[in-house]
Amino acid sequence: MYEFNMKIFEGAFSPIASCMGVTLFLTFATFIIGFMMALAIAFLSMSKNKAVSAFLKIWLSFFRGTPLLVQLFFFVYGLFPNLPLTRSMTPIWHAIICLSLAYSAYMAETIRGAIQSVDKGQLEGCLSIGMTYFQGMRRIILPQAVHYMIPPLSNNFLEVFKGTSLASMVGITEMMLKAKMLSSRNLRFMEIYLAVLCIYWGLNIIFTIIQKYIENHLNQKYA
Amino acid sequence: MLKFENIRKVFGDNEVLKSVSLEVPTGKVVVILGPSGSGKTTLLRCGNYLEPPTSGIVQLDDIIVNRDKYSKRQLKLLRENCTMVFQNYNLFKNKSALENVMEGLVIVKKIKKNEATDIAEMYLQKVGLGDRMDFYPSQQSGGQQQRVGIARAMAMEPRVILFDEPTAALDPELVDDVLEVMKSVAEAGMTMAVVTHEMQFAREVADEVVFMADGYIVEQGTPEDIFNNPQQERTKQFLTRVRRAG
Repeated sequence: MYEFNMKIFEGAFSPIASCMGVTLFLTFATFIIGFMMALAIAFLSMSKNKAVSAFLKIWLSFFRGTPLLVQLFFFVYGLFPNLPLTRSMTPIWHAIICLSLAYSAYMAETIRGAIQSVDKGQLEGCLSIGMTYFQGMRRIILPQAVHYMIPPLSNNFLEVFKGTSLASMVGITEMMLKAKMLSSRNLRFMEIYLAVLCIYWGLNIIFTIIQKYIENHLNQKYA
Repeated sequence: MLKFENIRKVFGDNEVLKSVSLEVPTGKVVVILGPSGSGKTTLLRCGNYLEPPTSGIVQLDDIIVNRDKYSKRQLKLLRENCTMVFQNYNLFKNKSALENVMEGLVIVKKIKKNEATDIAEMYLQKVGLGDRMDFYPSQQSGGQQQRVGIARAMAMEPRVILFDEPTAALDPELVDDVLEVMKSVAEAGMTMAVVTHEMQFAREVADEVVFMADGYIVEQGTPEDIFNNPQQERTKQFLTRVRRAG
């Protein structure tokens, strides 16, 4: 009968939490870079150019259709250390770029859907006073699309946050890898992994509360 | 003067506009009437290229936009000088009334913010909304939103304003306020092309009435000609039905 050791459980929090900074850095860097990539993909997906459409179809099929873990192994151990552009970057940045590429494929759909939810008349209003398409997008459409984007993007953010734990498999010392290292020393798997689960869970709850606050704040404007 | 020359518009198999030519002389009000499907809204939207015609030329004084070869600059100039008031207002939902009217001034005409604020306030006062400048579209009635739309179109100080069924989406009690504003815009000498079902407005304000059906101009003339002495059978049918309904 396994005897759960409260002291080991409580003692695991501090060392694991010391790597929280890495987890959060991976999360925010991936989310921000991924979002910018997703914006580009969303706009490209609205292009009528056949070559662009075909390229995007293949790109999105690849990133949505293969496991993230396998992508990480390929990019972090395989491609990026050998590409001239990325050779000199540290492994954490290889992981961030790979995660960004992967998650941008999902976020692009969120963004495209949000832009298309904005009433078409808004763009006509812009054009009718001589604004260009891009001015209209930047000043009128995108700010309104942001309102529609927040709930699904928040879910994307939480997925990114949880997905960073996979970076442990390619040698990035974030919370999960720290937990692995701890548990391989004392073999107390239940206590250590429960502790790291609790930290992920707690952070998730905090992010969810912040998300609700942002949504309510934005709803006031458009109510 | 706004000139439509041999404007054709085809959607798939459907020829919505069949080589229509029309002039809207400077300082005059042209009202376009017709049943739905006549092409009147499509023609109006070709005027500022929200609907690019399949072929033909749109000319606003010295600005020529020929479907076969036009520059982006000509198109931009056309839109800056030929603004539109929409049936569904199309106000910028994320901007207050004042910001809606200022937007074109600051972004397109590159006017300094202070000056743009003064101009926008003046036009909002002209349409009777001086006390509601900081309200967002969602906080305004349909009639108020449409008056903001008119102020926004006027503030660009265009050469022509196109009105696309401006009162069609309004509750009956709110229609008169908007028509009054439109009358004052006309009296101030603005060149206007108006698609509407408001016959009384056409009688009182139009310099010329154009009746369209099935993608072409059936008949055009003064309000007196068209309402009291229509020549074409199609025109007579339409007016009879409208009188019965009104």
